[in-house]
Parts: sequence; structure tokens; C-alpha cells
Amino acid sequence: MDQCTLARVNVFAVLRCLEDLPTHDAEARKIAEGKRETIQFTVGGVGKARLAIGGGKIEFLPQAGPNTINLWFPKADALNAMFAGTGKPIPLKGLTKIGYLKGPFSTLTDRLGHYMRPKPELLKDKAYREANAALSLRAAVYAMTEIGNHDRDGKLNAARMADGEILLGTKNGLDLTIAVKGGRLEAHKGQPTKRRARMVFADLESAGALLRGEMDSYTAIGAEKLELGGFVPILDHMNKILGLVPRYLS
Amino acid sequence: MQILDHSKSRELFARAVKVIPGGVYGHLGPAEGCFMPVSAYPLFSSKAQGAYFWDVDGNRYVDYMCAYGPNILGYGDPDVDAAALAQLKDGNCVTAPSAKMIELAELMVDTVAMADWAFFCKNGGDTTMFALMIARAATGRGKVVLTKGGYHGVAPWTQKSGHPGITPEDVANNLYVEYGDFEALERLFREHPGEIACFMSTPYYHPVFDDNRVAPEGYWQKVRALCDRHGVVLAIDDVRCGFRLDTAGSDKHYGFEADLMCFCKALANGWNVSCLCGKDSLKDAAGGVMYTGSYWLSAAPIAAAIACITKMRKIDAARICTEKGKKLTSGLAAAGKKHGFDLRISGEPAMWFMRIADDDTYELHQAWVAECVRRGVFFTNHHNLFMNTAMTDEDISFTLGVADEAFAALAKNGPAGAGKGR
Repeated sequence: MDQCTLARVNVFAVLRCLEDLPTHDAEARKIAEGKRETIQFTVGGVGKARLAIGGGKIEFLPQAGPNTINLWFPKADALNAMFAGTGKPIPLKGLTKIGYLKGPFSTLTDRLGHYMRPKPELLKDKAYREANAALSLRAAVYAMTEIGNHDRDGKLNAARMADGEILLGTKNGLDLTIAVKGGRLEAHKGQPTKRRARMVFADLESAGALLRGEMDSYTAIGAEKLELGGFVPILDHMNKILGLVPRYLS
Repeated sequence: MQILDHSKSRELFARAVKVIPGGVYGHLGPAEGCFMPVSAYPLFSSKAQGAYFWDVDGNRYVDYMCAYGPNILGYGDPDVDAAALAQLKDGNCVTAPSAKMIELAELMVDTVAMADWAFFCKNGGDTTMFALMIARAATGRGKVVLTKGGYHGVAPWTQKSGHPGITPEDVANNLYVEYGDFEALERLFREHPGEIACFMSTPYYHPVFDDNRVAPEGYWQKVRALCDRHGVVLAIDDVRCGFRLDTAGSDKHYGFEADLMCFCKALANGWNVSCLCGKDSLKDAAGGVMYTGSYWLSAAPIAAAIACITKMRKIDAARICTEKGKKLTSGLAAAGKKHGFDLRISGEPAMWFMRIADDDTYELHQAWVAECVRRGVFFTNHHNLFMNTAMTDEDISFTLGVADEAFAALAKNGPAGAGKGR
């Protein structure tokens, strides 16, 4: 597995999912209501991104900018070590705010882990299952774009994708758009402006079952838990990239 | 017309997915087969006869996929099946092969214009793999040139790097060129002197999802000369087209002669046998390659192939398929036009490709095909279709009626039938 791609997945997919955590989690909502802090992640050879937490929301900003805490990772491995729980960042700015990192920020990442690493007993709860599915679906789509743009096999498949916008979501309204142009992928929330293909789950339950590995995609399609339509070749190549996501997210 | 119900198909699919990966895998399944929406399609058949199959819900379909090609004389052709069943009584998979294999090889050599010898396997992919191995054995070279969008089976070398289960090493010897682009092919040959063992291509371009087309005038003749000049084996994958364009082989149909020709599909009207035919110059190389399989010389499918080829020659199956294909496709295009849709027909009439060209998302086409299937005409969305000789004028007339009604539904409802708007 390519460490730079993994670092990009960790920053631009996993951390990005914190944006949606308050929708599902009371503790996250409470932290989001608190004082605003902006944490910048600076990863050598990978890129920079910020999380703005407070003022009623959590915002992921995929570039450098004004911040109150700046965490530096000399290279991808260092960031990946932090995500694996075996490494620590070097604070370049906000040394007095270590407490925030160990406190509210740490709580947020713990809560995200709670929803994204499901345990059988937790999955008995419908609200938990839905939160797990919604966050996992977003993480998978965001991760897929990073893998398509940076992983060796991902890039091969992305290069085969025709230009256009793909709707990936659920029938009850979770909409994500993957825009493809010149073999580069971008994902954003909401419906496409001009849809070229669609990949729509019957509901969040079905999306969760597939993402948790309880159901395979071929079965999902045959059982109409997952509908495909439109310019199918673009989906065919995208699915090859989606197939690489578990390697990185697991 | 009645809208067909598929509830038993759905029940069986639920059973199947518990014990079979994907329920129905591969090109016959709902995912690879691009069944959109899946609910419009039958998933399991109960019987087949002539131009039709019936699903497990008792619905009859006029079948334009022909099991993706094998059905050329009609399902259950009495002559072919009688030959196979008679051979079954005498012996099928036996320690010593039946002399029927000689009879079939002689018939292939007599039927296929380029053939000096014949070698039998089971699937089309067995023959393309063997063709490549023979080319490598004969030339001492490693590389193969393939056309972009071409399909030669599912062996790792025929797939793409980055796909599940495929390593870069699997495709490291592959070079790719656009179909019909002679200058690009010539350039590749020049850039890899003494490295290319084989140029493998289908006789005409019949990819999925894209308009099908024949090669430019003079292309194959120039390719033949180029291969001769560079000592490259010219292998034609006639697995899909074989016997539907010309009983003597599709290379003959397009006015050139291949070194190796791969046949399967229509060879035995659904009985499982494939065949690689070759020129004398490659016979020694073919004999030197270790290549075999448990069921490759089973006699019943070989007997079926003898009967099938004999009948195809007798009735001129390729001509019949072409004529019926022309009649059907002109009617389909006219039905589309009547309702304001541009149904674009491409490729050879015996195995045409079609798409509604009014939108680049294919959603209109998917909706129209679904409406046809719901009314008893089995098309698939993005693969070429197939004609068979059992198709009657009444069947074509019925099909055109269904197509008309399906276009009317499409004009009224838009692509809602394919699930647009969720």
C-alpha cells in the first residue's frame, strides 16, 4: 500500500468525515457548539488541510490557511502512524492548545472511530447502523477519489473513466457526486449538475450492509438493493477503484 | 401487451446468492449483463426451443441474445441434438477419444477457408490462449498486439492491469492499438522489432457500449502483408462472429487469410466445444505446446458440431442470419423514428449493435430495452445482439410490435422505466 495515498485518505477522506459527525452524535454536536478552533494538518509530500471546529459546525477545508493550531508531519508515514495510534504530530503552532487536541479533538476522533469501526452489539441499534452507513459511505467516496488520483492501480482505472458526473447515494436522499475530468476525480455533497451515470442504494441499510461486507455488490445489484444506470462504463471503472478502498480504510 | 412478472426469478435469485457468488455470475448475470432495472429481466430460464426461451415464471421471450451467440440454428435443433444424443449412447468422455474428432477436424478443414488443421477445446478463451502460445512457440517472441476494446476471454492476459486479480506482470507483454488504425499498428511493429509474436483481433470491431464497425477498406489486406513482413502471427478471434458472417470464416468474409482462427459459440449450436484452426506453417508449433483439458475431446459435443456445421453449410446460415437481421433492424429503427427516437444500428446485421443516440447517458436506451423485455422480447443494453435461423417473420413482426409499444411508453414516460429520478 502506498503511504502517500494512505496519508491522503486519512486526511482528505477520514478527517473530512468529521464534518458530518455532529449530525449523528450528541457529543460531537456539543463540541461543534463550542469555541472555534482551526487545526491545520501539514504533511510533508502530501499536502495541507484544515478542520474548523466550533460556531455550530465542523468544516473541512482542503487547503492551508488561517489556523489556531498547526500540526506538522514530516512525511506521510508520520501522519499514518498517528492514525494508527503509534505516532504523534509536531505542533508548529498552538502549543498552548495541546489541551484542545487531547480533549475535544481527541473526543471527536474517538467518536468517529466509534461509528466507523462497528461492533456486532452496536449494530443492533438502527440509529447507529444508519450513522455507520452514512459516514462509511462518505468516507468510501472521499477515499475513492484519493485512491483514483494517487494509487497506482487507482490511477490506471481512473484514466479509463470517461468525463462526467456520477451520482452515488441512497434513494432516501444521501447524495454524493463524483466528478471525473481527464482521469482526475473529485467528490462533493449533493446531486450532479448534469448526471452521466448513477449508482443508488435502495436505502442506508443496504449501503451499510455492502460497506460492512455483509453483502457483495453483485448480490446487491441482483437483489435491487443497488441500482446502476446511465453510462455504465464509467461505473465499471469506478467500481474497480471502490474495490481498493477497503485496503486503505481498514 | 402483457407486462411480464418475474417473482419466481427473484425468489430463486435470493436462494442462489446464499450459495453462489453473485447469484448469477458473469455475462448471464444481472450485473455484468447490465440489466437495468433488474426487475424488468428474467434471471433464470425453465426451457428453450427455437427462437425462444421461457423463464421460471412461465413467460416466453423472443431471444435476441441467443445465449450470447451459441444458438444459431434455434434452441434444441433436432438434427444437432439427435447427433449429440446418439453419440452420448456410444460414449462421451472416454479414455481413448472417439474417431468423431477426426471427422470434425476434416469437416473444419473443408469448411474454413484458411484451415489446414483443427484443435478442439471447450471455450473461446481456451482457443485465444492457445493461439498466443502457438505464436510464441513459433516465433520465439513474447509480445502480443491487441486492439483497444477487444475481448478475448477472461484469462489474466486478456484483462486490464488494475482490475481485481490482475497483476502488471500479467499484461506486461501486451501492446494495444486502436481497431482499424493501420498506421498505428505499423508504428508499433516498427517500435518493437523482433519482439511481437502475434497480432490478435476480432475480424470486425464489436465492443460493448460502443457502435460496432467494420475495418476501413483495405485494412486487413495491409495488415496481412505487414504481419508477413515482420514475421508476426495473425490470429483472428472469430469466437463471436464465427459462422454468422461466413461459414468459411470471417477472414474469408473480409477478403484476407489469417494464420490462426479461434471458433466457439455457433460451432455446435450450444454444445460445449471450441476449435482453433491453423495454417500448416504453425502445425508443428501447435503440436509442441502442452495444452489439454479433461473434457476437450468429449465426443457428444464434437458430434453436435459436425451436425451443426453440416446444417449451417446446407442452409447457408450466415446468409439467413444477415437477411433476418436486416429486416429486423430496419424495422426497429423505423419504430424509433416514428416516436421521435434515433435508434442507431451498427455492425453486421446478423449480430448488430444498437443504441438510442438521443442522449449520451444511455438512460433512454436502458429504459426502452427494459420496456421491450417486460413485453417478451429479450435484448440486453450494451452488448451486440444475435440473430438465429429459427427466427420467423412472425417473430420479427411480434418484436416490431413490442418495440413500437416500448417506444410509445418511452415517449410518454421518459426514462422513468430505468429508474431515472429515483
